Amino acid sequence: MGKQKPELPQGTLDMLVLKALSLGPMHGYGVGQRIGQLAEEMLKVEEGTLYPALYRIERRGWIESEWGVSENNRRARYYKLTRAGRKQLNVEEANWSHLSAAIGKVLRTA
Amino acid sequence: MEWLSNLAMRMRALRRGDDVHREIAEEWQFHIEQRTEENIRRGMSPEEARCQAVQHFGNSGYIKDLSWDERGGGLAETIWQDLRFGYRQLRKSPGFTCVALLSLALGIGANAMIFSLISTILLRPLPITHPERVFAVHQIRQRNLSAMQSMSYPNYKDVRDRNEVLSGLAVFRFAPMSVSHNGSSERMWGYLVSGNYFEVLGVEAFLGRTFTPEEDRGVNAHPVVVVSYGCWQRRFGADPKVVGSSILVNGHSFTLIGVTKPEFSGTENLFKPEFWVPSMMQPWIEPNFSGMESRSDGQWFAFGRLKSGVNASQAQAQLNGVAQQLAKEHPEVNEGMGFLLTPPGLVVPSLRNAMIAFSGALLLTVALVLLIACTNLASLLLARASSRRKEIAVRLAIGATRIRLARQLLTESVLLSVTGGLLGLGLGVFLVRIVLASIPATDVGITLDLRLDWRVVCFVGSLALLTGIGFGLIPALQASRPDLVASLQENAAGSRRRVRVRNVLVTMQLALSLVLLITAGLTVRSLQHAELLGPGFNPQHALIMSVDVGLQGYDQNKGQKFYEQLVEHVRALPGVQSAAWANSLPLSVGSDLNDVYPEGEARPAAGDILEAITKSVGPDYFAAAGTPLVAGREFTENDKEGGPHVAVINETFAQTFWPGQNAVGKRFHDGGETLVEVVGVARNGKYQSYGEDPKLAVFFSLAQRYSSSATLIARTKDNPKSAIASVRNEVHLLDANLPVYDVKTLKEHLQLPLFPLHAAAAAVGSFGLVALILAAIGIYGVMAYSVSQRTQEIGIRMALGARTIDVWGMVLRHGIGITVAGMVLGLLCAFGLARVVTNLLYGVSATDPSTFILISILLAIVALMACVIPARRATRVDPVIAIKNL
Repeated sequence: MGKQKPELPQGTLDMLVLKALSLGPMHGYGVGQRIGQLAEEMLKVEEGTLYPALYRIERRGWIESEWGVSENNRRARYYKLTRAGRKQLNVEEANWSHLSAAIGKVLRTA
Repeated sequence: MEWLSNLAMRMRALRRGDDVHREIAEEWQFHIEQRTEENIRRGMSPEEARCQAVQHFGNSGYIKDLSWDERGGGLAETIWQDLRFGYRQLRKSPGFTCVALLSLALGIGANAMIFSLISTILLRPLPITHPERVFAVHQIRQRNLSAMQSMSYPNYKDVRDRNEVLSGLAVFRFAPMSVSHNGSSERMWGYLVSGNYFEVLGVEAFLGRTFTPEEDRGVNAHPVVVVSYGCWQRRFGADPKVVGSSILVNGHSFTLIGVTKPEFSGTENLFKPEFWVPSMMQPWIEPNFSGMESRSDGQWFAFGRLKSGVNASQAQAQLNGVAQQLAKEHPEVNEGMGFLLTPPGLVVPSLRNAMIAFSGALLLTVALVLLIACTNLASLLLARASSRRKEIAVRLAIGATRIRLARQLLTESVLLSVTGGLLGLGLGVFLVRIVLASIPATDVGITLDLRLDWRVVCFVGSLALLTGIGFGLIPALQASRPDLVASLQENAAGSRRRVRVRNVLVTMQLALSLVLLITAGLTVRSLQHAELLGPGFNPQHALIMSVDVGLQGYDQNKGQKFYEQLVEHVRALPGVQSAAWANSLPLSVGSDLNDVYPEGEARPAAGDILEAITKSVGPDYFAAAGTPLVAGREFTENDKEGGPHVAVINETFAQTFWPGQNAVGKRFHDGGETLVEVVGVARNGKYQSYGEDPKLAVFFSLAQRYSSSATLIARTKDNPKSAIASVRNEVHLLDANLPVYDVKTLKEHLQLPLFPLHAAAAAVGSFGLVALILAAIGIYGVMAYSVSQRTQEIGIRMALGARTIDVWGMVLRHGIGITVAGMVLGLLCAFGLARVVTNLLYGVSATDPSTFILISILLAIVALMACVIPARRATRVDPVIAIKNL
């Protein structure tokens, strides 16, 4: 019952995370919130799967992490974009707009 | 850089796995608490809020595994697991492990040793500043590249002053000197160097100082000496006060002004004299040598430092331009002159090229040995993998990926090869020690600084890794093929194919071993031949002894008298058949060369004129040396100073200038305009090295061409060693203070020029032996495996009435088949290689039948012996048990 939750392909999730962090450094929970906001509650991923994605992105050097203090004085791990990450985001955004334009064309003409 | 952060995270996971786990837990804790609070804000109760938060988070076990993997833990953990598993597996089969480690150690150890030779002689840079900018500058004759390749002093000065590409050009020469300190004197080898020698090299002293260019101005004006660190320790007891004191060199007083650093000993790799003297002191060091004024003579070796921004080929081109100028200005000497730049260390380009060829050949040989070892290992691993078929099939069935499985098998083989590599490194150290101990000692002080430096260790490391991956890859891929159903059953067809693969491998091994052994056999025969027949004189029953009367202060008159008296006394000794003097023996280090051309012809241009090896010998020399004369006569007492100039030439000389005629009585020009008459023609021999092309040689009369140092050669009736004491005694009677050196039998004298051949024979011989052992192990392995696979078949046959003989026949047929195939393949390859190897052999054809036959028989015997044990085991098969396993 209810809305179908589409599965996010791995690459798309990475892109969303990078975009979310481009607005400023944030901890994992906050990233989840931002993505939620950005996609207007439609793409509600199983929250925990965000973390393997974050770790993978960190391993690729696109974000870096350090421990900090949250707004409500708790210890949290903050992530922020690196320069390589910013570059990667631009690349991914360009790819995505090409892809969606192409798909849109096909869908309109069909 | 992506891989860097990747590596960093993986290393952290490897070393601080617990910390990483804790961090993940903490991070998620925070997340869940935030979500809980959010839920409470939305109106849920605390328990509900928390419950919903946890649920919303997701399947934490699965996510945790994923996270651990992404944090880098996955790979590190599995590699560690694989290593431990591999180690246990290897321990479970000690036989296999021992054989594998032995094969690897032998193969890699041999490679390590040869590579350390290459590293020392060709790769290691000199301990000077920016060694890559320093090059040896050789003066060559462009149309006659095998001619002498060193510089004269006047040419040096011109090149030094006129070139635009070198920031400094220096020269040096080797010279023996008699050095006295605190009463004891000794003949040592030293360098005569130009004043800028240390400056060009950029070398500073360890104690005291080195020369300044000013100290090389003015003949005999600055008697100063710099000694090497080793010399300072050995001869002067590492006494710091010796700096500034005076020592006697050739009877003259010199001041010792400095000691070089421990690792510095000149620019040469093989020959390391112990002290340096400015070139202007030359008259005191080499009183009979006109080394500074003559533009045509001079064995000065030069090296230079490139100016910044200039590379070697540009420098060579510009220097050749200078050469052309000099050729125009002094055509009689410099016509056809050119310059060649090479990295320093091996004196002359011809030696360097020879060393490169030699090391290359050796490296190829040990690579072959390693290949054989790896083939062994690949086939052993194949067998092992097939015996673990069931285990692998079960793993695949419960979900292991093929990559994971192959990685585990590969880890095992890399573990094996790295351990083998370490053992090989140890073996290499041991082999290096043996080689160093076997280098014949010479008066000339040839040294080889062989050691296993970082280059060798890196080489061994990468070799070990590559072999591990190389021989492990195919078995790993093959074994991990997910052919589950077939694997879980007994698969006879598969095992037959495996046996075929191993057959091929062993056949290849046998072929390679045969090739190596034949090469070894040919080299050994070459050596025998060279020893007995090569040199052109008879090395048996003769002793030699050298003196340097010039260093002792004798003038020419005194020297000649000494020579005459001594040789007379020695001839009178019982047990001595004949005795004579020579200024140097054939196949000694260093030789004199003169330009020669026949009477009646115009003097050829300097670039075309032929050189002859020159020796001065006394009467009876050819009898004493055992060199037959094919025409004419020996020198006599009448061939002395004031008489007509006479010479004995060798056959090549005679055939070059007067082909088909009798050379006796003909005359030729020697060096300047002197006409010399030929009075005898001697049988050809070797004069500089065993590998040389035929050379012109001319022997002058020692009475007419005095030499202040000479070697006495005495042919004895019996063992020459017994006559040594009495000959020494005769010297002592004539002059108690005259030092004699290089006292040995003529056979021992040949040890140095024969050393390369000896070394090659020893090397190839031992590698061939190793190859044989490895091949025997290979055959044994295949035969044993095949028998174990055919156990059922054998059982059935025996049950049906086969006798022991029949079973033997079955097994041996297999073995003989492999052996014959391998030998045929090997013989074909050996024949194929014959053309390549011909140049390296003396007096032995590269397809010498007796060598081929003997070695083939040897290999066949060893191969068949290796088949015997499996064959016996086959006959012990109990048919009842074999059939039960059907």
